[in-house]
Amino acid sequence: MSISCREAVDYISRLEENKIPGEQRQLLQAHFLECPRCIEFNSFNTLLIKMLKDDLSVKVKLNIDDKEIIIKALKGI
Amino acid sequence: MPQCGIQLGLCMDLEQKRQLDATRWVNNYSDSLFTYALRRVKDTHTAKDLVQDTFLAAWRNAENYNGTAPVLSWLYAILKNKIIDHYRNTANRLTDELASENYEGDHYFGANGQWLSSVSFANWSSSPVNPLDSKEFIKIFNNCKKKLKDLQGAVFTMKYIDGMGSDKICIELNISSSNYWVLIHRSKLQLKACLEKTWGFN
Repeated sequence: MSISCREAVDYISRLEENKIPGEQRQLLQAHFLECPRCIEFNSFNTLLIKMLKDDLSVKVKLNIDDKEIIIKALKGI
Repeated sequence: MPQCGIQLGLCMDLEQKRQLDATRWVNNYSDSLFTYALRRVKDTHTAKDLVQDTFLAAWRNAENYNGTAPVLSWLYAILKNKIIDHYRNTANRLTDELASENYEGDHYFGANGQWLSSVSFANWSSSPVNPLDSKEFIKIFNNCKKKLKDLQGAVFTMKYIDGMGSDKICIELNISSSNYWVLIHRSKLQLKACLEKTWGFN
């Protein structure tokens, strides 16, 4: 029994949470042996998780007008 | 006899203090809260609304703040709940999103579930340049994230930024496990497609 690339992509995500049993893990490893594209997807996935966990968002400031609106709202309570 | 003795003076002081606190709170904490919110929701307008709602809720319930945690931690806790509520409202549109056929990711696979041969594939494992070293790439990445559909963005943020497990996310958003995994892998494929297209690997 083998798995499709679509299934492999799904398993890669489930593996992050150890949500796939050993048998499916072996199927994924076997799939990697014959599918360079899924290996590449796995590489992308690793980088993606790093990108998401590193704080890549731009630090932002609320502009003065928006702050004034909130202050007025608070003072109005 | 007019009610303007010492007692009224004290009331005025408290009111003045309250007015000052409003300004101080917003000046001290709004940027941190806004950054936190903007990282978790798609658009600036929503993030601003969430921050304002957080301050209003905190202000109305100031007597419940016991002072054991820093004010900012208390405000973060309120904001997190507001964001979860926002996600739940987003999740109500689940059916529409999952039924949509306009996911770029779906264009990756043929009917047999194999990668389509027509789809070009960037070489992420041996890219000569580390994309994370590039400010331009980070800008592109953030733009691609914004293109995720609302529910995709919510699930993705809860999983990868907030570190929540799938079981908890499914409960919070009231979605099934199978829908959750579909959202996750479609989001990844969509981000991959967007990054490869925009970053110019191919």
